[in-house]
Amino acid sequence: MMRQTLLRRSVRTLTLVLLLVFCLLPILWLVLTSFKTRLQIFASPPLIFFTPSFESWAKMVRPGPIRAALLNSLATASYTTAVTMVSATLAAYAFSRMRFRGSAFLLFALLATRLLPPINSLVVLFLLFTRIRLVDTISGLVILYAALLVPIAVWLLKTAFDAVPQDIEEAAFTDGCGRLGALARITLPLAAPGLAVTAILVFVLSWNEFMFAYIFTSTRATTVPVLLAQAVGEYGIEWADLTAQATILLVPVFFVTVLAQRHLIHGLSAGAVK
Amino acid sequence: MSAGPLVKPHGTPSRAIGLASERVLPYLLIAPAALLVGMVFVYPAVHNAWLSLWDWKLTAPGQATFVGLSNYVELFRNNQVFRQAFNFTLVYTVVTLVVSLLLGLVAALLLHPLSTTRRLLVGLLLLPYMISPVAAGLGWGLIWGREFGLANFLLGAVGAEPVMWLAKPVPAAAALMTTEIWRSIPFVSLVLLAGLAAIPSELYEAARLDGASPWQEIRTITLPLLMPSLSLVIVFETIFKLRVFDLIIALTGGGPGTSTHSLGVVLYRLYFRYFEGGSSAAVGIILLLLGGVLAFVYLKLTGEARR
Repeated sequence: MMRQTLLRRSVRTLTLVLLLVFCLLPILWLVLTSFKTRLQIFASPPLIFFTPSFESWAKMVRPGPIRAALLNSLATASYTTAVTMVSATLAAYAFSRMRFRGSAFLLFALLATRLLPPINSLVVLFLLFTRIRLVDTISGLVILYAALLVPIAVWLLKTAFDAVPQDIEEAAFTDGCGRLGALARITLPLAAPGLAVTAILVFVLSWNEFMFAYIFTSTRATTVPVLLAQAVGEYGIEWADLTAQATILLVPVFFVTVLAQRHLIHGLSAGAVK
Repeated sequence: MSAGPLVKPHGTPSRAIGLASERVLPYLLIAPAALLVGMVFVYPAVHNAWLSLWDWKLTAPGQATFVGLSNYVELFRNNQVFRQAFNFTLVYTVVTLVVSLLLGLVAALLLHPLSTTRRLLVGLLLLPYMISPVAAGLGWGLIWGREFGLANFLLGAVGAEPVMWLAKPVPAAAALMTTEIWRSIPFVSLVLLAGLAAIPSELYEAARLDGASPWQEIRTITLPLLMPSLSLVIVFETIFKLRVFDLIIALTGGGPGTSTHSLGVVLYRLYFRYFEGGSSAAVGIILLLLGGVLAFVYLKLTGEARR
């Protein structure tokens, strides 16, 4: 009996370790490669220990396409987070607190738009965006991203608002705060963790977004993922630079994932976000 | 709902005044969100269905001839690349779905119940899901590389011949699918972990008293009670795998040749390389219908099984 549980335990641990290696190896290898010189990258057998080179990293500080792309990515993700959070907070508040005709249907319809493949919008939106001059602009991207992320944000925020007791809010309401005053002064501070997780997710998802950026930007509003994809298509990939650029794309995500891990797990499994 | 001794105020003056605006207010609050989603997803989807019935070029959208369903017929009958991509997308979706469900389930079963250390592990396992798909594609590109890749190094270590992973259709598809599975495991296991946590532990205790083996426990308690979470994951994952685009662009570029083109990649190429507005609109609608039909069939099947 003892031996059996010991065996089972070690099988369990071993499988988990293998799974962890599988999940983390490509990421670790990417980060490691960004500190290699070209010669070290092509070494056989692959080098695990080597003298790190910071050349590719230093390049990103200097003015150039990658720095411009980084600034575009940062601007796009920040504006998207702002636009998404404001519009989603208002909608989530209505769905959580108010009773009105068609509320269940409207919420369902909003969430169901996630089932429409985004690429299906490309044909029509490209014509439209060309006409109103939104192609290759950050504003154009922000509109697309906000629309992409609003349904998830509404769902997560509605869950967060539902958890705030209504009594406290009504007390403030009758004290003359008004509905939106009560929202700003009572509900939002109490739902702060939920708001934070939602904002983080929205930021990360727009920071990572590739398809819309690839289609709707060409030179001026290019984000980092697009720059990376363009470099892959070229003949003779400069792996050292490319991996450093990819790694910088990961830095905020690492940071956020570690910091907000607990809340993220909760939010993700509750919202079934994708 | 806390039913405390607090008496809820009703009919206070401030409320009576706000009553008229109260009726419009929720719609006003929803308006910005609805406008965004309507403009970017709902209107284009509807308009796209209409555009798919016309023959028109991106270079001259004004000159269009109504052709009915012939764009669709043409795609299925004469467009070799489309047919290949249609099959590839289906195979890709089914294979990656099945394998990531299995691995995700194993991961969830191993991680359940969540202790402090295991929670930390989940945080790390979350990374493939959180990072940019393009960065992930690059990271895996380093592994599939021909001379310097880790995969070929490992093959060499066990005495096998190196494989030109991204230069041949079948290995390229395998490399893509492995990367896709890697990316889905966190989401699958997370949702399943939440499902596992909701199963009352008394059931297991009762089963153990009856002398059930671990395998019997999984088969008779865990899997049936996990069905709602499993259905959710299957529907979501099916729909999201069908639209694969970013990973392909970052890893194989759709090649070698057109062997790893997905429906999304075909749509993109038709539109921007061949300027075929009508046909690319039709591909979009096909993708939309495919996702809808698969989700519907699946929900119907599980609904009937439960009854």
